[in-house]
Amino acid sequence: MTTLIIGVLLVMGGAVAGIAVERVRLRRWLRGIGVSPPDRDPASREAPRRRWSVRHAVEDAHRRAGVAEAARLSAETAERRISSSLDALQSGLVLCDRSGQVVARNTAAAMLLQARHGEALVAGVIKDLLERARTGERVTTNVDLHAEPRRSYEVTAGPVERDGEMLGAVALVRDTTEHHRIESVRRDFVANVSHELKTPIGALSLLADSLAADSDPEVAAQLAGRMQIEIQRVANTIDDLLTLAMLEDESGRPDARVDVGAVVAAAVDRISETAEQSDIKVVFSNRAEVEPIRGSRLHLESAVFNLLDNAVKFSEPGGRVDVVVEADQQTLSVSVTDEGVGIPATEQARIFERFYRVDRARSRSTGGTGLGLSIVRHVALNHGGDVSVTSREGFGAKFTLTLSLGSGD
Amino acid sequence: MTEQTRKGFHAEIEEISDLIVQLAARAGDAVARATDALLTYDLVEAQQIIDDDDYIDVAAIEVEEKCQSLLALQQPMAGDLRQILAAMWITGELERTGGLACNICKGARRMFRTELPPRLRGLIAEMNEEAIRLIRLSVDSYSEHDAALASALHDIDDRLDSLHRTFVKTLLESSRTHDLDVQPSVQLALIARYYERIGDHAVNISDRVRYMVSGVMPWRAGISRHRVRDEPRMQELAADPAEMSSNSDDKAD
Repeated sequence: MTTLIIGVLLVMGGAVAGIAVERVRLRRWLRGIGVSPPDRDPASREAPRRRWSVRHAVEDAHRRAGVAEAARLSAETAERRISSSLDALQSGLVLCDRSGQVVARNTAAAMLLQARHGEALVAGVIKDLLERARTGERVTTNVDLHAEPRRSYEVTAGPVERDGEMLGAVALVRDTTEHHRIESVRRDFVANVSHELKTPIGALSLLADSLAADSDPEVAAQLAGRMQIEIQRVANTIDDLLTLAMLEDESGRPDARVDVGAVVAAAVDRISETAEQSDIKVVFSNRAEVEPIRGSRLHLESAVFNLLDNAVKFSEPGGRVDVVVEADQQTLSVSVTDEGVGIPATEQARIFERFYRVDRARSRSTGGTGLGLSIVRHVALNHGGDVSVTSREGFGAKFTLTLSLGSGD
Repeated sequence: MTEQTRKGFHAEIEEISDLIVQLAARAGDAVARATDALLTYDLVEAQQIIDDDDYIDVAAIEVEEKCQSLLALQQPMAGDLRQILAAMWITGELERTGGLACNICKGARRMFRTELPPRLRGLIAEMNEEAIRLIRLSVDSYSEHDAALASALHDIDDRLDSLHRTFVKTLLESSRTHDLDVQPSVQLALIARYYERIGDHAVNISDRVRYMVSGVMPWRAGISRHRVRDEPRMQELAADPAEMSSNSDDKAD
């Protein structure tokens, strides 16, 4: 019996000792996998009474996993934030690693890299420049695409280094089309202004010199006549410049009521004599039955007259000019169609610029100030409309002046 | 063939396809540039285009050599084989397109100082647009493996052909009304022909695309016409089915 009791006690003692040993092992193992016992945990210092237990360790592990998860999430958010910011850029950005493999690109760059037509050339340049940038070079190339729609791109590439170690290369692609357009508008404007203003002044100065040196009255009369022509040219230019300045100044739409049909009829009437002299038929048809619109009769008539004047000027003898007034719910349009020389596709966007001329060499023979279409455009804008052109070189042109009917603006 | 080399093989076919798209972009741009040089009487640019044609030639040779080494090393079959063969043919067509752009430039040089009548200028601009449209459509059909679009190109090309006829008619009128000399007149007639040829090359590309996608050989239509005309020859061909078969490989794909 006693042996039995001693035996039971021994087994119990062994079990207790076994549990103690297990517990030490568990602690060691937990320490090994980085789950530290409570005495090292700052959180447990605030509650020193709380004894360390397996349950506690599991809780602790969960908390730490939560921290790691949060860190992962915040890294992901940061990455997403960076990549969506890069995607919002209009410029293309391509990053490649040391071996030349593309590792990142934003949306704009992806579009270019997948492009099939003209833009495929830009993709080729990006790849070439990244190759060169990986050797430590910094390179920039301009790519002009000549097929419609014409575009220009600027590709810059450079190496990506840290502590002298080459990590890869980055390329930046910028669409410079608009930049080039503005640049050429500005450059041509200066050249064209000086051409329009200086040519008659130069002529006047020469004519005046000749007049001073010559005493023959017949020659003098001839020279004076030429001087008058040049003076008229300068006067016209100044008049048009003032008109343009006035149109720009006027804010809001003029308040008078204008019957556009009557305005166009008056303009057609004014051009008819010139047209007859060049054997050109002007045909007017009014297909709009609308109430008079708000606007300025004077300005509208001058705009329509400018379009008619151009149509007649650039038509061959025997040609025909069609003038049509049409209306729909919101707009009233006046279109002037001729069968003349037309306008090259590349120039059509630019003819409404001030002093812009398709053929500068011919500007003196056709007369005009180079401001006519700018004036038309401003009048249209002041009347809540616009002016547009469709043309094929050699097959005439169609100018359409649209005016809004609404009384709102 | 192991999985690894297979992967490499398809990546290489993909690369050839990219190179062809690049080559087509270059050739199309050369045509547009040549038209600009012609219409703006820019001889410096014309010379530059002729010099730049070397890049097109180099790119074309690069594609050809890639195709040759794939044929030799991988012995592709069925669809893969057709894709490589089509690539080689298409490369040739694009190289010629670049060559025709150079011919336009040389024509511009030979008729320098001749002011072109506006109608002829307008028609040249239009033939240029139409030729570039055809090149683009043929490349679209190639990239998208679109046999239907490829078949449509024959009809789309009719417009360029009719522009070419209008141009020649207008040229004959203009030589009277605008006092065009013989030299520029001849050059202009040739230039119009070059645009028309560029369109034909685009149609040839579309024929090769149809072959690539479905195995049909549209360029062999002449054989069937010949068969109808020439009965004994027809029987000879019928006796040798290999000559007309092209779809037999498809099932292996």
